[in-house]
Amino acid sequence: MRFDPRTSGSIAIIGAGHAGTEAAFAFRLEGVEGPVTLINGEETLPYQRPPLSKSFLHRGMTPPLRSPDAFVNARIDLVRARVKAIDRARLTLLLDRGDEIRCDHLILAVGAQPNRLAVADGLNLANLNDLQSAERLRSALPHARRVAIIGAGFIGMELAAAVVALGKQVVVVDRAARVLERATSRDVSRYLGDRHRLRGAKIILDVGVTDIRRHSSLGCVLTLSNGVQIDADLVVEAVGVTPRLELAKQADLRTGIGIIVDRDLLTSDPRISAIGDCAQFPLCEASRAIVLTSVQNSADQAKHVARRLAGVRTSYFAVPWFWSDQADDKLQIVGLVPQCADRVVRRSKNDRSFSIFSFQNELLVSVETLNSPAEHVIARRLLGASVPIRPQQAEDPKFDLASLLRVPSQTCK
Amino acid sequence: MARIVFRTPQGTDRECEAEIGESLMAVARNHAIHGIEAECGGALSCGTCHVYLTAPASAVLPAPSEAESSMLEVVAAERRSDSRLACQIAITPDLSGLFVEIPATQF
Repeated sequence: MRFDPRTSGSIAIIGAGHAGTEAAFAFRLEGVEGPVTLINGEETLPYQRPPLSKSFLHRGMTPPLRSPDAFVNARIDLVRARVKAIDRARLTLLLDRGDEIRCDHLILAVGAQPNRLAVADGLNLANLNDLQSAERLRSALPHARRVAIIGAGFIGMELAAAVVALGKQVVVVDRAARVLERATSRDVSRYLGDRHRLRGAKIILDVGVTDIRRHSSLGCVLTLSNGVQIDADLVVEAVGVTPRLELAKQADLRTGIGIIVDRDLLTSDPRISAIGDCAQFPLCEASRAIVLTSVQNSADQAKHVARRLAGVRTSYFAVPWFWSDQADDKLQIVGLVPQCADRVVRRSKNDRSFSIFSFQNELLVSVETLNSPAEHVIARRLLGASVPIRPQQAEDPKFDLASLLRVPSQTCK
Repeated sequence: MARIVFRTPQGTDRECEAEIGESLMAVARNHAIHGIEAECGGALSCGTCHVYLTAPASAVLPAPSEAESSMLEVVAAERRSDSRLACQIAITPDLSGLFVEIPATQF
């Protein structure tokens, strides 16, 4: 049976992170009236994840995504359970607590799980993925003087900033040639790497971790591929995430690096959508399918599915954007930063604020902004509406970028 | 608790009870108020929780920070002298009676 919002079909959402929770509320904003069940695999009320690698380590709290009353008022049935299996024949979820939930449309918002290093197998190192792991890390920090972080991606670097601020000695190690290598351009890596070193973090690049040996309840000695040994009281693994695929695979849905969805965010079963960190989707018509792990992607895909089930016919399209607060530096990115591109730097009077514009075939594809959130907002609008901009305009600080937004432009599709 | 009234772009008024200490952005989200997107959840990264705070209740508020002011320069709707970002407003008892007008667009 096709889902029909007018006949009050029921919706079940697996996963109460940013994507799942946002979707539940988006249904109500879109006027979908049928039962909405949000299945939460965690002990706590749905919460904001970005603070976990930043302020949480200092303050020990992260804000809830919505208040308890908000769930009641929006008639969202928040169920504390884990889904053991999906019975596709009956579109029914089998829960770990023994009962079942039947629905007319199912949304998979199961998220991603942290990668683990083969050399760390069995060591149960600290990591940072959810509130529980963040609590564990926070409670271990007072006992540590020297902290080693494996991985110089967003989580690793945000964590490094937060842990240095607690007065710890911090070493970050990564196989990559520069910090944030996968997601940012060289100039941004260089700037942020320098800032972290200035604040006191030690960053060791171009090396792998070949061995980890535990010598106390938390302490370990890391051996690096260049032979150097690092003795740390606490080791944190921050080596990326992988979409959770078990449920989708067991239900025989198509999977790749994520749960494969089409431009409507539908899986290979048209009664099942997948959104957020677990979904592998085509960013635009011609592009290969990708997985994005971000708040923006979760929220935009949640809203899209809600609109679609409310009867609006559009394909999913959104310009990706990200932010990363590292101590007092704020990095914001719009678009996906290509490894190869023509880049220009837009500088400001303040040498801590600048933007990197990346062009391919004379088209703007991404803008990385340091400490200038207003410029980021303008860049989002430029890319969102495919406003033509020349490299010479982008790099000229006297040129008013906002003036480009005031002329009529073609929209991207 | 503080009493807050939101006026939507369509002109409908919604009265809400707000917890002391939570942000005005959180109040709007918890009460499913249309028109406050708050895409970044309060990280001063997106500029999509723009509101107009009408006097006199807003007179007790501290002035916007430099970062908030620079974001207000690029909000999608008209910037007025009473423009603020809802994520930067913490609810205090003396804000009770605050009247919050939501602009027509955040994008």
